[in-house]
Amino acid sequence: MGALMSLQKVSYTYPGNQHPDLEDISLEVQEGQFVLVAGLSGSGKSTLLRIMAGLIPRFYGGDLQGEIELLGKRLAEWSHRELSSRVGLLFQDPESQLVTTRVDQELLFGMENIGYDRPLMHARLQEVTGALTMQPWLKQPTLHLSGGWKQKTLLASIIMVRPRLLLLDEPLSQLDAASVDQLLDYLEQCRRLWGISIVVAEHRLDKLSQRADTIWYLHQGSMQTRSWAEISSLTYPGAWQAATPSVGGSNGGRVAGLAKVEFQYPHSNQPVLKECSLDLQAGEITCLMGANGAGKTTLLKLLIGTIKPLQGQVDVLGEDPSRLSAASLARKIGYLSQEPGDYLYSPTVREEIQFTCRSLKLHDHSRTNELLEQLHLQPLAQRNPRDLSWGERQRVALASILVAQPPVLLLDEPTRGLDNKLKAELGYILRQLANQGTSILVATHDENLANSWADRIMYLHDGILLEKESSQYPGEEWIGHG
Amino acid sequence: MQQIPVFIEKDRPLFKLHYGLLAALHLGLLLLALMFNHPIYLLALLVAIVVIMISSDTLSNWRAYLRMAIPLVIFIVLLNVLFSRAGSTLMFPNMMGAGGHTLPLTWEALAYGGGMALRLLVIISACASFFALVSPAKTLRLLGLFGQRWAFTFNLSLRLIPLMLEEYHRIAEVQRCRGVEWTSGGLLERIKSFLPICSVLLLTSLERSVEMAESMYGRGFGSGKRSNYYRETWQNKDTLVLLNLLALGILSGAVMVLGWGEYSYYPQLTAIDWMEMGPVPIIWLLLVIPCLGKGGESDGSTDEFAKGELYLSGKPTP
Repeated sequence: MGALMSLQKVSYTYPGNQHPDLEDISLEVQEGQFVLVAGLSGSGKSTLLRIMAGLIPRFYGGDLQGEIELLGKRLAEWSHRELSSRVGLLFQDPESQLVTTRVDQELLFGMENIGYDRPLMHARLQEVTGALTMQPWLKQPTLHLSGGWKQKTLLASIIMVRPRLLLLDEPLSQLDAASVDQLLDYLEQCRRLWGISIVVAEHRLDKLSQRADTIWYLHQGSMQTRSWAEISSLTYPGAWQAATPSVGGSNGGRVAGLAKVEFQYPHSNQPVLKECSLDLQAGEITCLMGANGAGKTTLLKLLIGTIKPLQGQVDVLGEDPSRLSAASLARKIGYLSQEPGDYLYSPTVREEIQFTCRSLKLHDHSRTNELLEQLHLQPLAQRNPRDLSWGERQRVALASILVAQPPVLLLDEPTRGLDNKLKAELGYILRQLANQGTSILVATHDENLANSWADRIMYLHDGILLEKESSQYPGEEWIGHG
Repeated sequence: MQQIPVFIEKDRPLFKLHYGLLAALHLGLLLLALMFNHPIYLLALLVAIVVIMISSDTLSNWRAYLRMAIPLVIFIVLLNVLFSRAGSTLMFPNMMGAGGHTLPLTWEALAYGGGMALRLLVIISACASFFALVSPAKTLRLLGLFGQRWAFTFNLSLRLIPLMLEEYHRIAEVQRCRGVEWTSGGLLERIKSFLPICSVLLLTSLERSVEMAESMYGRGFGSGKRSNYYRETWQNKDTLVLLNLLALGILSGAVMVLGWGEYSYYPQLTAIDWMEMGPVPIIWLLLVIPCLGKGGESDGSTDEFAKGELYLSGKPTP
């Protein structure tokens, strides 16, 4: 097998930056190879993929040095159209990549852009949808697809063009365990059926490592030679469990919960929750697990009173959250959604945190300083929160909630997009809060987080809430909490 | 949460018509709504649209549009009743207002407001019916006649508007958990509380648009002339509907020339001349004739995938 793409001494600096973001990168991708790119957040994985896709410098500008060749020809010499038909890039958030309103149109979007003729488009449509068993979904509106299906649609759309090189940027970050296996099977199929070379940048290494032919490790913009054992020790939970403070557990009474709650969305004919009961205790970390679409976020929304149950009771400190004013709610319950960007609009991190104080008429500015220290945000206090990385944004959003000192804290997929070091930091912070008496409920599909930090693991399966001491999928021994 | 209607193809005759004809039918409805002033003619248009939507099983889309339209309709009626002084028949001749004057609310203003509200309902309903019957892809092709960039701007709006609505609800939820109350208090307080939600929504949308542009560029958008997979074919029934629409155009033109579509509300409501109403049932019939026919026929217009033969695409792109 020859080299499909090669990079020789490549360095890149984003516009406006003084120092290179990637430095002296040399590597080769072989025909049909499966490469895993590992590294902590901010190590330059996404930048490397964008360089390989030709988006840097064509779309971003900046200063790119070194030699990049695709099929023996300099990357810069390929036209936009030629490159788009040979290299495909799938980004992390499928929502931001879907262009059309129907699955079949999305599948054809890339081929139409490149100007393929109809017989070829027709053949590819049949071939790809057949291989990925997508025919029944072709006329579905993209708006109503689940996250996993959106990702699958985009992957199929890129494969329709039949690129020689497929690049994927954190494709697993939003998927549950079953969907991860499914996506990896699709990738394997692409490689086997069409000989596509695959490069995946990802934090969740455990399952990918078994499939990858080789692993590149990026550290602060440089490629490093590391053995698998070394990478594992740097990125696996064992490394971050060591920093765990003493496990707490409940140290107070019940602070919130659901009693025999039933819920169903008006546009659905399936109930999301069936007679679910859950008690949240002070000082306890509860992890709520379940497949994508199982109803984890719905349960959190019931607790913040955004939606009301069809039957049953929801209470936070003895009150119905849907009847509370915003100010009372914010003092009783903190909610961190999946999108930290939803909280951020102030010009600086400090002002973002103080915005909550102003909303709630709190005048204790020492709490802002404490949180800046506790969440390692002091060096970023004067930065615009929108300019920060995903992990940093999440900490700012968390600080903007914690400043109200709510006794109950709800977090929705808080480890999404975080490397294990950042997960460890988050887990440490949660444990500190629990030790201070906060009751924490975390909706997650991250088994490592649940196993390492939870006092209690609940599993939402087919609308029923189950409990067990590990994050394994539900089996016969699981008990219902109806 | 308020749902935005999404196009769903149904097994009904209207869905099988050429999209150009459906566009012509709805454009005709809009023109007639603007041309006719007479409430009976306007009512006939509205009833025809309702029949079109019942026959195509798209009434749920209409309801979604009505939710948005009804406040406007009420506003128009109230505005006319409260501020129009052109009428002569007082609604409450014995009731005195401030300063000992009679209240200047007239039945003519109420009727005129009702007529204008009816016109607005026809226009909004025609739009609802069009978007329920013509898929975004076909609308895209129609707009493509004016340029690809127009078409894509429209298509992206169709995708992004529901997304923005979802994001608005999500942002409002999380901001409420920070103490931002935008649903109670005085108007100024509400506006002040709403600003952070709007700011976050704007910033999030801008970030998303950059990500989307990057993805589109990476998938070859803007790299040259595009090809199209779907093509529309003209069928015999389309010719019949076209003739029907031509007849509708000629008859409506004649009604306008004769001045039968006009109605005078002021200074007093004029009596209805029933002879002038003669063309109403014919216009109504011509509007609903396209609904006739059988569903379940193959969509000769678009779905090449379902009936084409299998090609083998061979090796990867060289």
